[in-house]
Amino acid sequence: MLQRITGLGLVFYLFAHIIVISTAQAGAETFDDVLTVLQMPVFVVLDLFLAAAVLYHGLNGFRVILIDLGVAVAWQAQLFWACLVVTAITMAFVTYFSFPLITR
Amino acid sequence: MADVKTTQQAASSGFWPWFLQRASGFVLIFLVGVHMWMGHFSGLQDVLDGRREELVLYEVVKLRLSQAAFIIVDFALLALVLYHALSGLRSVLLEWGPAARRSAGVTKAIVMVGVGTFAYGAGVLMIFILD
Repeated sequence: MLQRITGLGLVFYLFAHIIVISTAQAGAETFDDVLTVLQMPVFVVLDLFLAAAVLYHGLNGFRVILIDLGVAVAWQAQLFWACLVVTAITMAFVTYFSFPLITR
Repeated sequence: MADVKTTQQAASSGFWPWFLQRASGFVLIFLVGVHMWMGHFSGLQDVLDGRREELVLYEVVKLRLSQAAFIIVDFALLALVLYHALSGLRSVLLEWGPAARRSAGVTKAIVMVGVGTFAYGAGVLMIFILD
C-alpha cells in the first residue's frame, strides 16, 4: 500500500516538476524567479518529503524485484522493515546536510 | 465476483509490462539518484559560502546540458520515468472495476498522455540545449 501511495504521489510530483521546468519557455529570468521561490526553506522541507518518498519507493521496488525473482522470499517482512529503517537513517543524514538551506 | 475477475484479468497483462516496469524502475534508481544529486547537493557548498545564489538557476541547467552525458541522462530519465510512472498508474487504475472494464481505453489514454508529455518535456530540454 505504501508503495502505491508513494508512487501516486511521485506521479503527481513528476507532472508538477515538468510544468515548473517548462517556465524556461518564458525566458531565463522567469525560470530563475520561479526556481528562487521554490528554493525557499518551506520548499526545501517539502523536497525532503519528496526525497524520502523516492528513497522508500526505490528501495521497496528493489525488494519487490528480489521477491519476484524468488530471492529472499522468506525474508520479505524483514526486508520491508529494512527499507523503512534505511530510508529513515538516510533521511536523517540528508536532513542534517540540508539544514543550512532550511535555516538560511 | 465478476468485478474482481475482470480487475485481475486487466491488471495482469503479461510478461513484458511486468518486466519493463521492474527494469525501468531498476535503471531509474541510478538516473533519479544522479538527477537529485545534481539538483540538490552538487554546488550546495557554493550556495552556503555565498559563491552562488541558488542551487538551480537557468545558467546552471544550461551549463549542465552542454555536456553530452547529461543530455543522455536527462532524455533517458524523461522517457523512463514517464514510462514507469504511467505504467504504474495504469496498473493501479485497472484494479478499479469501472476502469478495468474499459482497459483498452485507459491504456490508449495513458499512452497518449505519455507521448504528449515526453514531446513537451523534450521540447523544454531543447530550450536549454539550443540556447
